[in-house]
Amino acid sequence: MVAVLGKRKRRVEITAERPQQAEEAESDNEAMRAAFKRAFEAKFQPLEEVKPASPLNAHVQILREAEGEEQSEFSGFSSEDEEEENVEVVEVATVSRHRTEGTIRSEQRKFMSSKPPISITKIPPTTKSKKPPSDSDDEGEAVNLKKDRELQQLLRESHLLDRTSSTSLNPTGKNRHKAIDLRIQGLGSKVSVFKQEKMPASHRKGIVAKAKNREDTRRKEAKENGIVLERPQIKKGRDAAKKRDRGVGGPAVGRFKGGTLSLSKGDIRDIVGSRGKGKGKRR
Amino acid sequence: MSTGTSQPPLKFTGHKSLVQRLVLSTLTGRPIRVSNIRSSSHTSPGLAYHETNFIRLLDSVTNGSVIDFSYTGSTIVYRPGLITGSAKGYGASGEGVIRHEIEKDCVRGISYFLVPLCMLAPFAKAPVNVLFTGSGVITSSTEAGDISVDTVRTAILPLYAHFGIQNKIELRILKRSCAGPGGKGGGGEVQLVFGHQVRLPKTIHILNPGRVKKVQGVASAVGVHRSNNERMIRAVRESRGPMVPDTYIYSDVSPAPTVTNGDKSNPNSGRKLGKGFGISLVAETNNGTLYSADMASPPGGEVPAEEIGKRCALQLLESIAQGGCISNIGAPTALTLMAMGSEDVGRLELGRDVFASEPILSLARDLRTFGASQWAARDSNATEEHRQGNIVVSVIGRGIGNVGRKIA
Repeated sequence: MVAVLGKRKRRVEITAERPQQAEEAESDNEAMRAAFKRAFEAKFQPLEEVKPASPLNAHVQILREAEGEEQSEFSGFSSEDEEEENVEVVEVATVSRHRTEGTIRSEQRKFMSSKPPISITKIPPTTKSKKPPSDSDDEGEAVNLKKDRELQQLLRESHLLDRTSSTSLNPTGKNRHKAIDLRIQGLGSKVSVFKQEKMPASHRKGIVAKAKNREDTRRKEAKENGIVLERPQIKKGRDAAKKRDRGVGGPAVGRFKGGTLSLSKGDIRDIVGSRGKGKGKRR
Repeated sequence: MSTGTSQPPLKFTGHKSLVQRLVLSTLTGRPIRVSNIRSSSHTSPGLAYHETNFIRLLDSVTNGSVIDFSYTGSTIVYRPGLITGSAKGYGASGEGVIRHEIEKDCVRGISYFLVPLCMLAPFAKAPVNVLFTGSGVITSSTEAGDISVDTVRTAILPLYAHFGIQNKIELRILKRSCAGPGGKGGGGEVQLVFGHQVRLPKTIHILNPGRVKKVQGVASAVGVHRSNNERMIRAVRESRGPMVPDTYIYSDVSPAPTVTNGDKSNPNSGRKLGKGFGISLVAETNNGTLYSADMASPPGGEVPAEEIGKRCALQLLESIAQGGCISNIGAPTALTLMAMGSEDVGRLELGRDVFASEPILSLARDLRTFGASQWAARDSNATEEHRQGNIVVSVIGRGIGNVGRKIA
């Protein structure tokens, strides 16, 4: 009975050792079977030990080793097995991959979408790796901005530079004044400080005539050479002068003087419109 | 382009590879004159309906093209203009979509229009967005040898990624349709969006086809029961053998499109057109090579779905057996893009049977006529068994590319 007891004790240990994630039903089954066995053994002779199922078996093995019960020692293969040439290696390539419902769905979506399926086209990465941002980046940015501004200014004023000017790129003398004038205009000045307000009429006529002459020559030469130039600017003629600003509160038509609005004949013609000239009806 | 330089037109004869010549003419800017188009036919001389319709399509995506027909339509002079794409104000609607109508006399599948249009699209000035509609749009494969629209999307459009053309490309199948009675017409609707325009396509060197690892496909039933799809898919699975376990064939069932007969008093009157079923298969290798096959029920019917599936599977096996890095349906596209690329030698390994086929050789001759440099071909020196006999074609690009982009 002692042996039976010991066995019973061990069995308890084994069930305790079983991993928690084992099936509930299986453990129930096992417990029931154990209960039946105990009842049977109490009534009749003790049963000889039945080999338990494989996971249990493994546990028993481990337990026994832990208790120091030496099982059959593994003494290695016998000498016949040492010829390694006879060992045939068979590789079984399991091609069937486990695909879940989700991956199949996503593949279907990819394949059946209106875009060409991208799983098929492996696009080589074309993006270049960005260089890591350095600490001196902001500094460099400021310096670059300053240089950029200087370059822009130089380009704008480069026509003022000539061979006689000194090696430095800053304009000097008369050119310095012109450059400053350009900068002021760039900042929003309406007229140049060098614009001459008053001069003899003949001078002004001469200047205008010269400018017109130069422009005409340029256009003529361009036309002869087949170069398309910009459209000539439409001169503001009399029409622009006619529609002068009449001020606020004044009449839209005619002349208001002495409490009366007097209309000239021209004004009346404008209002009534010309009659008799057009034969057909106006629509 | 036609206004600036007045080159004499290149002369061709016959209706064979007419579309290819029109495309090359548009891409290179050389005017062409094609004579003797079905001139020996007494009943229907001159251009067929689908050819005139393609010329109309060319007219709508280009600006400044001049097309002259002879009285019988057996001679055509085409002076190409700039490929504008679907730019607003050039025939495109407010959303920038060109609506292209195909009437019911059309016997060719929509891929007859789509594939050449895709070749032009990367060189357009604006994105290309064309909606094919009307009672002549057949989306399935046809007996004339056109591939289905699924194959265009899954086997032709991915080729453009090799050339660096891969963004904003879409092929929307709005309505499916098989060929109608007598192989004429269908009521499908397809929209092509090709929004990636380049200066020059990249030079490619594709020399290793790889091994087939996956087969995907679409089975579609239009106006017939969905069991046809399952029967086709089953037949494909039975005949493709145990070597490729990754086979995914998706089933698409849609009602038959209704085509109105133009009766304005009764707008709801119409008939269902283009019933049938078809299957498109694409095999993909580990290197991204695509082999495809297509089969559809004939317009007369009387072929069981199992037979269609089996034929398609066999066709796919044949395409795989031909080998090469580009299959026979994609080779004209790839070679044309290579010829339009930068002045650099691109290399492409093709199967011997693919290279020696009539369309490829006629493309080589036409390209030479259009002033492109000749191709060089040598045997592949690969040692693998499945690559024995393949041919490596070297093509030098013209380096002109997209004229519209150059100006802009």
